[in-house]
Amino acid sequence: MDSEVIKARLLEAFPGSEVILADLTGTRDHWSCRIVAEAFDGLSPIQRHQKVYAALGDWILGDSAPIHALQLATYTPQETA
Amino acid sequence: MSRNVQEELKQVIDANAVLLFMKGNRDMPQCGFSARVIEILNSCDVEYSTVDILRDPEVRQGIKVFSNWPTLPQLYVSGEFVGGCDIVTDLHLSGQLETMLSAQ
Repeated sequence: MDSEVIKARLLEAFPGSEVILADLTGTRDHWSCRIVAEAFDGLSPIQRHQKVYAALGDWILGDSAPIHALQLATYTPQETA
Repeated sequence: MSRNVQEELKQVIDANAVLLFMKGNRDMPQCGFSARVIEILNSCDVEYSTVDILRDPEVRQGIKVFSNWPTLPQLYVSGEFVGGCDIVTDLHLSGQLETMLSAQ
């Protein structure tokens, strides 16, 4: 799965956010992702990750999903200021 | 009789104060993320149990539904879902994990 495709879906789910993806293994299925989004304000780490997983839906659910692993770092703009 | 995996999961989580759902076991983790959480738990001087989800496809899918979390490993402490590798690592680095575990 192409990083631009993943990024586009995340930007759709988190408008105005900053999304940086890195391919951890060179196989396009193990990703590291940093997202800075207003939508994370007031949410616990678990809730933030669940929001990202919900946005990716079938892409990450199940053994045949195109994303096998996703390392996540989630911040609000205030946390990175 | 059909199997109720969600009920099985609830029981094993309730029965183990610190429980890690992982790929492989503590001696031979089958994935780098599971290995990292094992390393962290070992450094915390705490008793913990593990479930090898590779041995049971129904548990492997069932725990994702149970936790509303699509990836493994998954750590439970006192019946509460704590998170996956990234969150456990962050909690460890900030010292919060040790606080949670020492309450056990």
